[in-house]
Amino acid sequence: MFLYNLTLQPASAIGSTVLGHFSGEKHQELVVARGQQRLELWRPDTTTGKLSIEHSEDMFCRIRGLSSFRMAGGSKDYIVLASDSGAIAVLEFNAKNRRFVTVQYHEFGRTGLRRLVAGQYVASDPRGRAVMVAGVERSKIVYIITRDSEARLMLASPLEANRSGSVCFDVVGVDVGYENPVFAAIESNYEDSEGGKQLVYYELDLGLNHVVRKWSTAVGDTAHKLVALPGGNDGPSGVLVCLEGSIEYRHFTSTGEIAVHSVPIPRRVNPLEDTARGLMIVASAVHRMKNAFFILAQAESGDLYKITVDFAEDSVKRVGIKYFDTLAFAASSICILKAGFLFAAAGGESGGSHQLYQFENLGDEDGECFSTECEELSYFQPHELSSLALVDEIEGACPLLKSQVLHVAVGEEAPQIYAACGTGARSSLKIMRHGAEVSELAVSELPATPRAVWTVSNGELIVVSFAGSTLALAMGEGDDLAEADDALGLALDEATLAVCGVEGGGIVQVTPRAVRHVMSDGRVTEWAPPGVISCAAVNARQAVVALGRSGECAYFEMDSGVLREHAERLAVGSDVTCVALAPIPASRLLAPLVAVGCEDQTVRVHALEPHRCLEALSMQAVADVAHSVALVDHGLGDLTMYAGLRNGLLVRAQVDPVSGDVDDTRTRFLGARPVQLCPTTSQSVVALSAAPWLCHVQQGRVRATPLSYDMLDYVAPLGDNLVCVAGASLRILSIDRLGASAALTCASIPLAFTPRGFCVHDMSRYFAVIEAEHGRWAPAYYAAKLVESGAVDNEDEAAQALLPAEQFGLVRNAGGWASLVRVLSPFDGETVFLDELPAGHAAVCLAPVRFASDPHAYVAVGCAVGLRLRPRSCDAASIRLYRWTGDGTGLELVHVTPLDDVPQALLEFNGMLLVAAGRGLALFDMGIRRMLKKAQSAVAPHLISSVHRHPTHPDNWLFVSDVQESVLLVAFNQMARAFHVIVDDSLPRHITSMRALEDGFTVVAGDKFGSIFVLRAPDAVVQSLDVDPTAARLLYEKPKRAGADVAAHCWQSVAEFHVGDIVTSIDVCALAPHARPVILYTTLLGAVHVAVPMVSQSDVDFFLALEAAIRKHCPPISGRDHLAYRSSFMPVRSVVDGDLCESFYLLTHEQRELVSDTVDRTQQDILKKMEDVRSMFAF
Amino acid sequence: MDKFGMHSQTEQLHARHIGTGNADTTKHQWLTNQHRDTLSHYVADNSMATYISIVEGESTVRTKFNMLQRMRQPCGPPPAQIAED
Repeated sequence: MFLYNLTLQPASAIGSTVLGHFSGEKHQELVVARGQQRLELWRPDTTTGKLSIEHSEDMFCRIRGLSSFRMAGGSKDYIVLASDSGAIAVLEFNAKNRRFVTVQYHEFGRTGLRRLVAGQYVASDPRGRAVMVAGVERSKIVYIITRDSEARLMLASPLEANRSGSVCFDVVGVDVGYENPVFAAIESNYEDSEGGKQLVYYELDLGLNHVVRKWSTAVGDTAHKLVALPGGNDGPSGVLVCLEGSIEYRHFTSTGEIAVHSVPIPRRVNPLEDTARGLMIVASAVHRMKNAFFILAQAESGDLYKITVDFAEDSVKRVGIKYFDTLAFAASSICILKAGFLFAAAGGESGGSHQLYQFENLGDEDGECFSTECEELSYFQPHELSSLALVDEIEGACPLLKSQVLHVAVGEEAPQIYAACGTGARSSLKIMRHGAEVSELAVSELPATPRAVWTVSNGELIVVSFAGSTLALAMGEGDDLAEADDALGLALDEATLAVCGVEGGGIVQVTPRAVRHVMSDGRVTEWAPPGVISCAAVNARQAVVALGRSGECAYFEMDSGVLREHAERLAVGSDVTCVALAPIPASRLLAPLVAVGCEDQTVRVHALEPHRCLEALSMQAVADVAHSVALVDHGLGDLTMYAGLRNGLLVRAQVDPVSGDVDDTRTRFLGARPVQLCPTTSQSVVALSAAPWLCHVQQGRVRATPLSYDMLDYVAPLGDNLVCVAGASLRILSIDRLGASAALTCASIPLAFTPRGFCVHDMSRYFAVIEAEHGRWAPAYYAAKLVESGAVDNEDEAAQALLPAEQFGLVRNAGGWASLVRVLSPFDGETVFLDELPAGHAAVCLAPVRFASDPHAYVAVGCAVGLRLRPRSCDAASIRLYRWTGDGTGLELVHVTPLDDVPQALLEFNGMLLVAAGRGLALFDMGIRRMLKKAQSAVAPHLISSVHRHPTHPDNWLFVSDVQESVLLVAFNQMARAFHVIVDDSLPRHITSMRALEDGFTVVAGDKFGSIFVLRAPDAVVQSLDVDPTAARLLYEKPKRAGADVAAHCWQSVAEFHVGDIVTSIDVCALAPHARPVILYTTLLGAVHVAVPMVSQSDVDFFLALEAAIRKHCPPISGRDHLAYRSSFMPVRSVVDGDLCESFYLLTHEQRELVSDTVDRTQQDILKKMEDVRSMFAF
Repeated sequence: MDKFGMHSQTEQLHARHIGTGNADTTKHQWLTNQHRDTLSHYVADNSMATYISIVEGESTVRTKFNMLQRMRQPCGPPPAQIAED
């Protein structure tokens, strides 16, 4: 087995964010580290309030910290990347080539996520003179940033400020103006006798070129975060130390230590709160204005606080804090843009979408400000967003806890990915499908079914053609479409074949019986064809019309404001079905080429340049008659020709704009309908078949992306939007963010608590979902508790005291559990059944089950009461058995069966229910008042994490995974009613998910350290089990390995690959109706990957050579050795990293040459090969 | 005895590379070192920190903070030295 690993959707969680001017232009940009592996440049458009992903690049390393700096006198910010590469990389965004470039790179330690090697924290001096990289423990390295004689950025040799035994909590660069740079760190030394926490100032003495530990002072034991205040002329300098529940101002200057100002953080009103638990600040941002600044800090609950510092001449008078607003999640970082926007990045567990808010006010009017003088805890009542307004969000699927690939949606050919995402009140069931998101702006009904639509003169006029008439529509006030008062002289009593605004302000309209040129003063000239015009193409200066059944085209050019027919006709020799003009190059007046689709299954290219007008240049044979043809300039050098065929194929080819040669043809099946092509202005084409597809360029490669929308008949551009006809309606659509990386769109169904599992009913396709939340109150129980505790008088008041959980989150309840079982319809997202479990119950797992002794379908839910995590224990455990009712649209509780231990996983096995609890497996059959235990054995060494059905012998064997000890193949002995391990592993692997392949002897599994691997049973086992499925012989074989409790045989590792993120679910599926099956897996931080099994040895050799060549000639810019990264825990085996291969698209021409020379293939070959894999298996 | 200055070099290497044990390493020291390595890995690996946060129902920031706090004495204070006869 050989796999080609591809990322379909990169992880969405943002680890760190920096704000700056990275392109060197006026607007501010964000650089974000997504999923710890990808570096992206985002641009918030301050006029429209839209976020756009400008560039996205895989770093092939673990990004641990980001920082930015600007050198004195520069206008551009640089990025400092701290990763697991044991090196510091200073990156720059090259705006011209649109990619990140390494400016400086300096190695200082070993690779990997190590405790003693710096790289966990990175901080830069606010004046851009130095940068500090610190490790979790001991190491701190300072680099001085200088310029060389040619004014290029240089890093001076590193200065160490190591201190053994000190654990570092946070590092910031203190703004001290132009005095010696100072970095502040929170440290705790475990070698000291007291081991208390200290705030330490490290001063870089620029004169003596060394770093000294200048000052240290004890801070509270809960200090976890530092915020640097503006210094120099802008502020008092110094740092705010965030402790649990309070914030302290600390600073040290040459005159000595400055007085401490401590202010408690106000808390939410909550009568049941645990006052011992302090608030933690998770993110902060400093906003500087003219002569003033303020700080926004966010607490875990999502509440934002505004912190103000009153100062006079270097001394702080007062620190004030007040409640500002509440965001729906705890951000991993927040940034304030100068244009008055707040960006909140969603990190790991809070998940969901990244949001951009606009400031409506600075919250000065309302709310009490608490300041240094307050000693006691102060409380506030949180309110809806009042100072911020949400303007845009970028959807994400993080954290992705479980997923399944299913064919549920009606009328869709491709399968959808159903993913249980999010935590707490932000949980949702997400439905992901391939395509770009489309939003409908307007729909208006038309009197008949139109055939086509065009826009004229910048969308002022929309021309709709019906079978025998034409309609001109105009945008009225308030974006209403109305019939145009003035049709600008268009012929409305005939169908239109093409219409276009031409030079001089007129319009050319082609109808079957005439070519009409309507001039700007209203005069009309008409040219009547000898027969009937079958199709036409018009641009601002040229027109080509095909004369039906003659095999001829007439060609027109604008000549001093008049449309003149060319002396000769374009004789094609076969009936013309479609024509298209090339786009007019920027420096030219005329389109150089015309493409003509003919009845004899060819597409011909003719020249239109004056010196060789209508000369035939080339001919391309296609598989069927071309229904439509389009020529576009994707900006890749050549022109791109698209031909949509009657059989539903889309052909793409490169056309040389000078010689007209057609080469590099690619074919793709779009759907069982002739493909209609509609060029939209911005270098893209919409291909319409069974679904609309957008053909566009994304980071140097041409992509076809389906639009998540109904079938369309014709499309025309309308400004940035599209106007389309579908059936008897006219619609205006806008394509939302065509992100630089994402290929999947999400629809989401909100849930109440963290989803723990889901299953589907076979017939109704309804979903049963279990949700459980640890340490939170269910809203109903919280209200009841409020009444009970006497905080409110009655239930109505309690209900009023409840805040909406979607905005404010759930209320904490230490050690408590809230759970529910829900049935929802995936079609409309409606919940049809909801069973809230009693307080303290935790729903752990579920499985659909059909008992051999009972005709009904059931869902078994494993529950624990009073579940404690460390050490793992519970007060009671049970299986709640629900029966599907009403043809699978509801559930009813049948009975509850008590268990001794927490059920970890459930599975239907042998017409009974298999329960995995602790180390053991137990088999239960249906009973009247409870389920009855039929068999029990201990099989796993530690704790079973999941069980999986065997694909070929589901009654005899099954796969069991252990939390630490890899996968086990287990056989069930019917006679003795006992489970026996047949195959185990020689390596400890902490399994999080697994999936058996169809042959029954191969398992794909993922572990906690972010690796995925394929294990296969040895041949001896396969042969033995073929003969004897009861495995009686294998049981008594003696193991060749030493050790107690080892099976006779162990798995052979077939493939190993480090993904860099915990794999949560693995599925085998075909992603398109005609595609071959792939292994699709999803990861915790929201990524979707596929591992494509390679078919031929030549492909394997080719991709291995390509990967090796790219590794050698164009290594990842993070500096991490790619091979070492992919082998982080186990040496990579039999897997090619498709993402590295696809970085070929981003390389410069010289680099591509180098790579293609090394693998001895042409660049086109390489590109074609990679695209073939994508189109054959994925998208 | 120490002809080539070997001892001083070994000591220096021991000081530099924490966790390189010797004959006198106690179980507690060894275990503490293992735990510190593990905890620092959890802090550095966002995916793992998120995984733990979801299970515990805490924010990632608090999880990472708790890990760092535990790094100081992951296995509790060292056991009292038993006097050797």
